[in-house]
Formats: sequence, structure tokens, C-alpha cells
Amino acid sequence: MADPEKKGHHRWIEVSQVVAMPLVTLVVGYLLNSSISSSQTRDSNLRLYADMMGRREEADSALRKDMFRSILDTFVAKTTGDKTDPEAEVLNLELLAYNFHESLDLGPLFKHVQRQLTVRTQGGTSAPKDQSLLWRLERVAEEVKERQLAAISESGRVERGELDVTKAGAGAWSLGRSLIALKPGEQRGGATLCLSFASTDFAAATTEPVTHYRQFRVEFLDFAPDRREVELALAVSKPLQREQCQQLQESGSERANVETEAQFWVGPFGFPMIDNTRLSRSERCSVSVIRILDNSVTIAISYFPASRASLKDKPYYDEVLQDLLRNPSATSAK
Amino acid sequence: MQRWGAAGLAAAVLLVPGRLDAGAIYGSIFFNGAGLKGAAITIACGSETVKGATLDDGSYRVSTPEGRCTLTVAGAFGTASAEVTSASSATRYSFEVVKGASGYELRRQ
Repeated sequence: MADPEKKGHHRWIEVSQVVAMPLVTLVVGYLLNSSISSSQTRDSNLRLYADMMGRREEADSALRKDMFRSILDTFVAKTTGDKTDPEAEVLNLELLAYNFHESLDLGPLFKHVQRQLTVRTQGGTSAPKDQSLLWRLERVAEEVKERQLAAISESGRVERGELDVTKAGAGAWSLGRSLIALKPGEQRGGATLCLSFASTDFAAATTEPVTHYRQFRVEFLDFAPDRREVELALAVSKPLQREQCQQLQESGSERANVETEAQFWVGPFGFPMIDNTRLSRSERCSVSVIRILDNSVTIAISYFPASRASLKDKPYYDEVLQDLLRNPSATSAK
Repeated sequence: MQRWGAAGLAAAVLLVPGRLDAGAIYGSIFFNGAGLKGAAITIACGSETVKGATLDDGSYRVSTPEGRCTLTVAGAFGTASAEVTSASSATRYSFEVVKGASGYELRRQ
């Protein structure tokens, strides 16, 4: 009774051995083949996408080049003696600003048109519309700045506030929650803020975002009402620990922590993506004048990764190398 | 009393608007590694002299006529001077008060 049962078991084992080998080969072959096939499809799709993007970029660049040249020619043509139409100039500037604000510093052109309009309004030959063109010019610049600040705030930090040009020292500034409060009765030359943003760029071995904290000290120096510009001094600390950043340092330590200092005039035509200050670790910061009303200047201080700076912004080679050494995957993903 | 006097002087200097043709000298004065509070600052430009004082963090800002001037800081250590140049735009001069061969002097930061 036991023998036929044993024989039956043996037969089943033999049969399954014979069947299993081709079956396993078939399954493994199929899986391998489908994996290679899907990988090839993915590679081919990526190549196609990159190719399409490249062609689109080329076509876009050609179109923008033609557009840029034709608009810019209208500004250059005036020097050959053609008559100036202020309204056409403002319209051309609007076209340039809305289409090229991420790749060109249009500040000088804005200032040039502003100077011309100011001369016309002051010279007595002013048409009633010249004043409104001046306002339109500032409104375009404001819209462009707001667009850039919106893009910056997605991955960086933007702090807004007011500057009273009739006052001096820290008391001239009225900023948001990043402002570090002074002790009662304390007098300082400028306002100090602690700004931070989370970044995965320098997370070294981990892909978890790391928050970078820096102190920003802004000092009001001068105001030119005719040019509608303020002169500021900016000092930015090296990256700090959160607790260290959120409290005012003793002036000696504050000085030791300073990484970058800058002094500049800034007005309504300074655009944060273009007109900014370089910091270590591929970071940028900028102080923008949003608008000026009488003695009150609306200011935006932004702190953001270099990847959000303009297309014109070129990283230094050593900066790129440091990025690669710190985190190869983050850099290659950019 | 002296402290209130210095603070008042500093506030007065900072709040008075500068002349249109004037520049400004600003910065910080450090002594023993810390900001020098309430030190009197005198800037002499030719026949004109302007005065100010440092704030709690050692910072100062004084409107001055344009040109070459001498900045003098007076504190508990005595006085120390340095040559500065004032231009139409504000010019930053931060100094550390250090002991030199002949008394204290200002070393530019």
C-alpha cells in the first residue's frame, strides 16, 4: 500500500522537476524582458521629452531674441534723432518687463525712461498724461517685483515691512515677525531679522529638508526723493543655529558672525531675482523697494536659494563644485 | 546722567536731517571686542566740526561735509583719531580701539 503511494510521490516530484525548470526560465525571462523593455521605453520617453524641450527652448529663444531686438531698437533709434513718444516707450518697456524680467536687468532702462518723463513733467512742456505714465512705469515694476517675490517665497523667505525715512536707527523700521525685538530703551543703528528657509540642497547624506537660519541687519542711510531711492547697508550673518539666530547677539559676536556686507541705493526698479547679494551655500538675498509713498517706503527682504535667482545668474565654479561634493544627487537633480 | 546725555545727543544727531550737499560717515566702534556704547564722536572737516555719539551696539552715523576729515572717538580710554573721507554717498568706517605705541588709536575693520 505504501509502495504505490511512494511511487506516486516520486512521479510527481519528477514531473514537477521537469516542468519547474522551463517554467522558472519562462517567468524569469519574461520579467527580465519586461523590465528591460520598460526601462528602454522610459529612456526613450525621457530622450524624446528632452529633445522636445530643447527644440521648444530653441524656438522660444529665437522668438524672444527677435522680439527683444525689435523692442530694444526702439530705444536705441532715438539717439539717431527720431522723435520720442513717451507712451510708446512705456509700452515697449512693459513688453520687455513682462517677457524678460527673469533674464535681463531692466532697471537701467526703467530709470532711463523715468528720468526722461521726470524732465518732461518738470520742464513745463509736460502733457497731462506724463505724470500718469510715471505712475504706470512704477506700477509695472511693482507687478514684476510681486511676481518675482511670489516665485521666491515658494522656496525661500520674504519679509515685508515699512521704512520711515524721517527716522533713523532701528526705530525707522517696522517689520514683521522675523524682526528681533530690542530691549526696552535700547538703541541700535539698524533692524535685525532672523530669516530661514528649508532646503534639501545641503542635506548631505539625507534627503530630509534642512532649515537654514541667518541674521540680516538692515540700516537706513539716506533717501533721495528726486530719484525715489533709499541708501541702505545690509549685513548678513553666516548660517546660525536657530536659537542663536532668534536673539540679538552682543555686538562683538554679531560682528564675528557677519559673512557678507553690502551698501547700495535701491529704488522701485530693483528686481529681487536679478538685483541680489550672493551668499555662501548657493544662497541669495535681496532688499527690494515695493513702493514709496511720501516718507514711507514699503520694503521686502528676501532670502532664497540660488536656484530661484534669475536665468542671468551664473553660479561660481567653486560653488558648483562644493554643491557636487556635498550632495551629488541634489545637484544632478537640478 | 552722563548716559542719558550721550543717548540724547545720539538721538538728536540721528534725527536731524543732513544737509543736501553733505555726505555721511557711519559704522561701528569696538573696544575690547564689544561695541563701544555712548562714546562721543567728533568729525572735523577743515573749519567745520560735527558731533555725534555711538548707540548701544557701538554704531554711529554722522552727516558731514564732503572731503577729508578727522574722526575722533572719546571714551573711558581717552581719545583716538583716524583720517576719513566723506563723499556724497554714505561711507562706512568701522574701527576697533586698540592700544598703540603712543596711546590708543583706531584700527579700521
